[in-house]
Amino acid sequence: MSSVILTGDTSGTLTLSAPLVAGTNTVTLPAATGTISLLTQGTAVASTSGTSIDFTSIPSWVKRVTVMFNGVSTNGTSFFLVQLGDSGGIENTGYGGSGGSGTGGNANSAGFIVSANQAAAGIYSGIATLANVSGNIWVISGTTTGSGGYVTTVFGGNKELSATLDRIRITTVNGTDTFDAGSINIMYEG
Amino acid sequence: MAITLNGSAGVTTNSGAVYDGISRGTVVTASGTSVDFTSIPSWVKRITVMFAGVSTSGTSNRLIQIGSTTFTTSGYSSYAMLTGSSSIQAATTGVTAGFVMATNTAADVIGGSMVLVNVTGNTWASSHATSLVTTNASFGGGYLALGGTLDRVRITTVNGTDTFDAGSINILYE
Repeated sequence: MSSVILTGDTSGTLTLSAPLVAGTNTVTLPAATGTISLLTQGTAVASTSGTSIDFTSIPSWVKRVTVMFNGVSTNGTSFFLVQLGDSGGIENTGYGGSGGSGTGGNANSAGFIVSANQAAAGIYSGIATLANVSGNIWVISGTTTGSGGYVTTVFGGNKELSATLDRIRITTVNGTDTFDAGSINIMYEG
Repeated sequence: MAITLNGSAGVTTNSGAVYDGISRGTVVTASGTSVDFTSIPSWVKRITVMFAGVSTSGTSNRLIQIGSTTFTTSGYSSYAMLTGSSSIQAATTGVTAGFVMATNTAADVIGGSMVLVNVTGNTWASSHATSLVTTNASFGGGYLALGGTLDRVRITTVNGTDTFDAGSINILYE
């Protein structure tokens, strides 16, 4: 027997499969009660147009979201902003925290500042990690760096949503600068 | 339907599940001079300490200590820096009492997280990036060869007397 198939109470199946190549392998589960989850990667979005990029339909069981910036650029100098949302839409108030670099720092209650965008020519990469404290309270932590001599930004913050997180938006503080290079993606796990 | 694999009883079925990818502690409203999380399982390889709007009464740098049965208060190698108005500032040097997070004023409010990872055996490394309202952000890292298997995490301050007066703290472990 190479697999065991479990039929869901209402629909679908779950298949547990052994490796195709024979061997003696052991998977030991920890002494804990909960739900098995996997690290799920979203669909990368080219940040080459528009004023914002949204990731939606994030599952309710997620406890950590990693936002990845790959050579992201805009046509202006407005700082990059990460905003969270729920079934009521993206929330643009009530954020605590700041992003700082060797040339200064900024805080913005409309979202988490994740990059001190120094110049329109700056190309930024890095990681922002969102973690769920409890209920609808989320914290962010991370660093981004601009290539071509532009600054590294260290950032952190916290935000309590009005409902369960199900979406993330990457935009700029002024909301009008447009993305013109790179890509952005997320990974989530629970 | 779920399946329970029991090393003693064999295979049974019930309505429960068997494993949590990321486990979360019980959120604590920050108060007193320290906040402890105990009974962390021995199989844990990564712990995320999360700070949501955390503040203290003074300016003592925040400290995260780990332990095995009791908290370890020495032997850490730990540094933190502050992002400033015109330069990166060396905020701490060679803190040995815990993994340090820099602060500047009592008005600082911490948002963000510190991640602790198990390098091998009982050696743990830390890394953090957190906001500080008045001084932008703190970042740093460190390591400790713990004397036994990690089972607890404490959040306190370097002087041990400043009190937490706002915010909430929790951990994720996996």
